Amino acid sequence: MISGIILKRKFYKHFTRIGLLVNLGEINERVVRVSCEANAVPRLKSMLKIGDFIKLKNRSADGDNSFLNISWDSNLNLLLAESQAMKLKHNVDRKQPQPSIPKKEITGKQIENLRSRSLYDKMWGSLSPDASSTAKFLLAHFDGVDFLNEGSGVVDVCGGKGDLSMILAVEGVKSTVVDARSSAGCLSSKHR
Amino acid sequence: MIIPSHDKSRKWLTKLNVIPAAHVRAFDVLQCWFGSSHRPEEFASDHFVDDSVLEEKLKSCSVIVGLHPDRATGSVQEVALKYGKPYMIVPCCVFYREFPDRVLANMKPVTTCEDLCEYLLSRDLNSTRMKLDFSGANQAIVSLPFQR
Repeated sequence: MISGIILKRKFYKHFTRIGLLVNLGEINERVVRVSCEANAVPRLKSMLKIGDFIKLKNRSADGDNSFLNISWDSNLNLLLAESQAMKLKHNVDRKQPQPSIPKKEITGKQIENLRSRSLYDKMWGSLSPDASSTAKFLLAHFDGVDFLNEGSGVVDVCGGKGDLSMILAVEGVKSTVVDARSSAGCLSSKHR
Repeated sequence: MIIPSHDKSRKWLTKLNVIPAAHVRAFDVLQCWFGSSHRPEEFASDHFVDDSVLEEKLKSCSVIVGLHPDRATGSVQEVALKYGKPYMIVPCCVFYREFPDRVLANMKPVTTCEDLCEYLLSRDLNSTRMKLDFSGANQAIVSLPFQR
């Protein structure tokens, strides 16, 4: 059984087949052909909404991975019930309270949760582009956060106000600004 | 370690709920002169931390990064090679009057940023040159951990 979420309805000309663009976890978009009886088509059109969770029963026999077939005649109600159940479960999961964050610790998972937040995006955007692209480069080419956090972390020579170190800190990397200027590590007012 | 009293870098992290504790700093700051190059008078300060503090930090660090490090460009590479650490340098200004001993293989003095990149590459055979995605001085001299 494969579960997915409907992204877009795409109806083929043939009335007994309905195409769906589905997000299946890792795979972004897949066209799913749904066979059904002719009289079920208007019901399907009205009941299947974008964002619904569905379960796919089996793969196509011809071995083409881009098509996943499910039979959709008498099991329609059952299938829709399953989709509703999945949807409810999804909503319940979302409403559960977030676990409390332990003090004095920055972990990669917490940072990942923050990626979607608008405030986080705002900060990334507002810092200097050279600092943000250098931070991206470091995270991509130096074996990730775990390697960068080894020992005392990254030494940011001539770090100035600390733009690069700030981005690394938000990503969960320890860093130290080394600078001769008295303004070392004093972020600009909008970043404090 | 000198902590500037007006430093409020933790505020963003507190806003983002990364660090709830108010006394945790986002990053450490060491105010000191890096490397052994000539120190101009404007940087002669009594507030600098001991060299031993910086030395300990450099011994235990994972990567040394120099993003537009001005006069410290050469020192970053020297220190990284001394302690056997991977490094990343994005050079910008050359200061060719202050470093007349920087000479390329063809005896041409280092006068441009391009020359400086070549000079740094010639000093460490394990280093590579990469381009970062921003405008301006975007050439990075990188020595990755597996290359060391």
